[in-house]
Amino acid sequence: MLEIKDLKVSVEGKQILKGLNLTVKKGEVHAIMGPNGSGKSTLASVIAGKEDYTVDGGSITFNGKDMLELSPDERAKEGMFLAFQYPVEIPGVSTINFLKTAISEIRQYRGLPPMEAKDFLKVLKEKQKVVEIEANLTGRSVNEGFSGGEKKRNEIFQMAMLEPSLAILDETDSGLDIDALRIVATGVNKLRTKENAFVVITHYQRLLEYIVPDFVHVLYQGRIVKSGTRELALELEGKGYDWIKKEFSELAV
Amino acid sequence: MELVTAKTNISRGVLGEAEIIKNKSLLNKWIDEAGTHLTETGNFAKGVQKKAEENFAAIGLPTKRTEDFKYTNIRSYLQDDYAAKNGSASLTESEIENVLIDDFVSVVLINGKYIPEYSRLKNLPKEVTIKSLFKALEEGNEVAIKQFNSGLEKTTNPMAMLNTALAGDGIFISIPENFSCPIPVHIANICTGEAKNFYNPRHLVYLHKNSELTLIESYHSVNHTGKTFTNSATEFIIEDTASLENYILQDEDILSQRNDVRHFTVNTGSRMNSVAISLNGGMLRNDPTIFINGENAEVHLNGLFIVKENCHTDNHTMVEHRAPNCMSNELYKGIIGDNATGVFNGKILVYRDAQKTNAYQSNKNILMGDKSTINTKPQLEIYADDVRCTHGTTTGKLNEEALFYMRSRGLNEKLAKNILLQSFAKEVSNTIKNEAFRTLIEQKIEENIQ
Amino acid sequence: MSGSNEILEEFVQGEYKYGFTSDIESDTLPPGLNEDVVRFISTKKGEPEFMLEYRLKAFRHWLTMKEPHWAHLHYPLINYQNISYYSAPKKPKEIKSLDEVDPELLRTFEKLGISLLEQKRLSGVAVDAVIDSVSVKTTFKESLSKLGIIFCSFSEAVKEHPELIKKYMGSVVPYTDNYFAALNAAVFSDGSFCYIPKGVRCPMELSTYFRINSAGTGQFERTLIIADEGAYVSYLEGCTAPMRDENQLHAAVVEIVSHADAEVKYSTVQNWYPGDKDGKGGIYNFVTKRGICLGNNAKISWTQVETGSAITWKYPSVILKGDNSVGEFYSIAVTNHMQQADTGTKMTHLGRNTKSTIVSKGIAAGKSNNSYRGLVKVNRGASNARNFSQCDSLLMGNNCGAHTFPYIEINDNSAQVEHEATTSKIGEDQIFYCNQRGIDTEKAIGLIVNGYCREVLNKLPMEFAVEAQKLLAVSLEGSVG
Repeated sequence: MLEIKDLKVSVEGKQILKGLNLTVKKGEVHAIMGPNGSGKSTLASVIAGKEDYTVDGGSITFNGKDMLELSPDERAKEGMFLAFQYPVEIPGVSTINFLKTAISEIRQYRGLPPMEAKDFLKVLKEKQKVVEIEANLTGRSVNEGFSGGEKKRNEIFQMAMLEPSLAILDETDSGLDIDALRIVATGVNKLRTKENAFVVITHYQRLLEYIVPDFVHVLYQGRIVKSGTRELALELEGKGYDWIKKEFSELAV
Repeated sequence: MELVTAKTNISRGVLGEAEIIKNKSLLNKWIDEAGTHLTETGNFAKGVQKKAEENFAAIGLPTKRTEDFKYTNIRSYLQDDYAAKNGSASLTESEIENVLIDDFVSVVLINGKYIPEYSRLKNLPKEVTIKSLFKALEEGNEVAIKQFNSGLEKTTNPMAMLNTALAGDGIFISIPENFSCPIPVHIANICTGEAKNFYNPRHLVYLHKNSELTLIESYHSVNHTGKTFTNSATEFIIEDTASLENYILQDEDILSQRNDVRHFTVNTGSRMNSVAISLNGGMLRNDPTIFINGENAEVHLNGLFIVKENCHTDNHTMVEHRAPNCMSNELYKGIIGDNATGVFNGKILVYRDAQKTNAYQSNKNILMGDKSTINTKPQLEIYADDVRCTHGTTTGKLNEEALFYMRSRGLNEKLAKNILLQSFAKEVSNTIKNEAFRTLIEQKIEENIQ
Repeated sequence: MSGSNEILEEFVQGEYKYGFTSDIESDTLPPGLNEDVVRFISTKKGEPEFMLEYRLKAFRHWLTMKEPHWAHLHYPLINYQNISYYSAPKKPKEIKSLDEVDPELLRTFEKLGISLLEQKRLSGVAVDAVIDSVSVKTTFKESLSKLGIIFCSFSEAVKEHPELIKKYMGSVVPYTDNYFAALNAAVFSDGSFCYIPKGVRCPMELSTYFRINSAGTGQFERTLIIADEGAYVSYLEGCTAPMRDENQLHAAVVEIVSHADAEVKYSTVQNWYPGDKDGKGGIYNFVTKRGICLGNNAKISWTQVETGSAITWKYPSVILKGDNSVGEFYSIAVTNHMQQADTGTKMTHLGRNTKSTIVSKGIAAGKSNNSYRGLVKVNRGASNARNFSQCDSLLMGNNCGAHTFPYIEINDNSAQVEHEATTSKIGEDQIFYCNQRGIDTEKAIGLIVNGYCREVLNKLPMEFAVEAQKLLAVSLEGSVG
């Protein structure tokens, strides 16, 4: 589904990703861990198509399509979703209106007829239940005045509504208390199917207790330096990132 | 920025021949009376003053229709029969004693004229130049000659033009490169004289690259026998990475009427903080203009006016962001009692090239008297898109809930009010970094709130 | 974000939909202005003597005045002798039914989406259609008159209800008020008149649709709305003009009188031709709009969506004379290309416990300049006056300007006045967030701008809100960065 090959990315002349490889197949959940500054969020942003980054080499293909050729909205329309680490506020635009616009744009792109209003409302209610989000939050302006936890839950709610085939969760666990974390994780688990895939980016393995990954990768200094299963995450939890840093410090350029 | 200039011309209108002649003859009368024309001190000034005369004649004194003077009618204070004068050592040393501050270097100006014999400069580091501006010009001081009128050359302010045309000898201060003046320089401005005297002192303050100065200006009246009008102008040039702290205390008598033009040129990486505290006087107008000419500069402009009786106070500020990546922050607060009038008219102008500007402006006022007035006009004029500019203004009375809360804890109404007013004022006085001066200001505020 | 800048460019190219011209036969006076012209207009309209006298007084006063230039606007001097001061569609006298209306004219209004056929009406909206300052058709007159509501053209009111005209015309905007108001008082050709009697709640929205059609003419219409004690009316105004290379002058006057316990809501969607992208042509819109809350508990609310005109000079204002009266001003002003707008409001607090609210959203794109100018004045004795103002500006692209010039004059120590203003641009992070949800940049901009204007759009009646939202999209579509 997602194929990243030898991806090299820089920001303002500074190289952040230095040849990253990652393959995600449908039905899989991948966790990407790593110390601060290893390039985790850069990876998420580049996949989604944020313009501040320069791709110096490599490729990202998604369902066989070259993503680097597509604009951010086209990537989203292809079925890619990014749950932001810091979701932005859009004053005056209600979440419902926002999602209605997004869904109709995506459907149009895929050659589908617009969704009937009553179907939309039905789906809306269903998904609100799935992610345990209060109806009044969706009536309010997108993220405006939301607490950190509410913003994150709103991201998962939007993911539920848009039904992407690949969702990237960028440090969705950061700033969440244990209850909020559980709600978010439960939402994700309910949305897991054989047809979709998740990339969970996180600093701590805490989230992985709730969202059990099939694969865990350690990102360090712009490369995936270790891949394994859930046990790798536990090992990291036990030993911290220092042993990774020690082991791979010679990679530093 | 053709747009802006063109605009100024339109709003000013074009005067007829007769009016220009009238302006010229008034100006000539004042030039004759003052008799200190700079033409005698060197050729460089000849052109400068001639040009200022022409500029002034073309527009004349501001009227009520002059937008920048909308709420301060200069003509109702400065009349044609005022006589232009110059400062001199017209007071005895003992008469001025109590306005000096012990901890600081004290520079005494009487009606703008530097009086070395009364000044106390023994703690002044030898690196710092402080002398009469005219003397510096006569001596051929390169900085003085180069910088004189560099800030005000293209001014559209008629009062600044008038000051240049009539310039009276004032003070020249220069801080050398990489030098941080360890002691604050205090300029004690004493206003004295008889009715209808008109003074136009001119000052120049120059901070070389990477230098630092704390400059305190205080204004007092001594032996004032009638209403005088002072139209002063000071040019400040702050070179790259230099830093200026400028504190102003206006504490004069009701006979004093003053229009203080200050022009700050702020260069790359430099920083300034100017705090004006207006407490007493007949008419007090502060008119600072800041040209932010270099990147990464930081400008703080603060003011507090606590006025009563028939005092009229006006803070007219102009911050021009002419370079990218700079920030400016303005806070003006007013407490207006009795029949007093407060004016705040601040403008932020962001040029097309001044991207990434952060500019803030805030004005808060409390009206105390039944006949108090506040006129406020905060303005934003913005031509760059990637900026964050905000202004806000509030006017109201004291927070009644807070008053009630304090009274329910046993404070009497007067005391409760005083506490609230003092905390209102503190937001501005806190921006004074020099502790000794801040303490003095806080005392003064307390006295004036009583 | 270069991608969004390009789209911004496209957005800026958004075409003016209403720029067609119509071949309607009209009577047009040759250009020029003098007392004879004033007399001609009055005679042509068969006006009573008092009206002619009023016009002449106004004209003589106008001669003594100077065109104002304090606004943040730049335009060549207007030659008032080059304008034709009267143009009216030729029509048979006394239209009995729509069959007698020039079919071209009907088509014109159909194109504008305004049906003059009552059976095809917008639900619950009565329309007065004014073309080149002459009222051509007022719908629903009869059904409204059963409630005692008078809704007709201004000319008709002059003849049928002279007592109301004499009493109220010029009582809010006297001809001495300003240059353009004086000019209007001298040469106005028509407009709408509306009177809601005591205690009547007007059951439908009243609407005037203004259209400038003839070339070389000025449009000087006049609207007078009176809500008697306890009455309520919601009034809508729409305007369009053909695309012409010349600048056309529009100098209208709107007066509103709100008596005790009455409420008037006045909503405008101003979409005069703004000129082309190089600034050629377009309407010069110099309009004086003012209401007075005459009695206690009266309320006047202005809502405006300004997207048109080459130049806009307009300050819908409220005089809060009655105790507890309320004034509101909600505005969206969009400028693009070479457009210039200097608009805002004046709230004058005279009565006790009066309250005013100002919400202004300015959006500047292209090479335009967009200024908010407002006055909040609290007179001595207007105790417990309250005002809240929020003025936000959005800049799109780096060739435009957004300015805020509030004037606040307070003479009463019990007043509570708050003003806030911000200037910013649409966040790239907001656009990216929308993109990531599958919304392309152009749509994202439309969405964000509509969100930014939400507070004001919410104040518009339903039919207008939809139109306004579309208009915002058309004016800016392709224009944000």
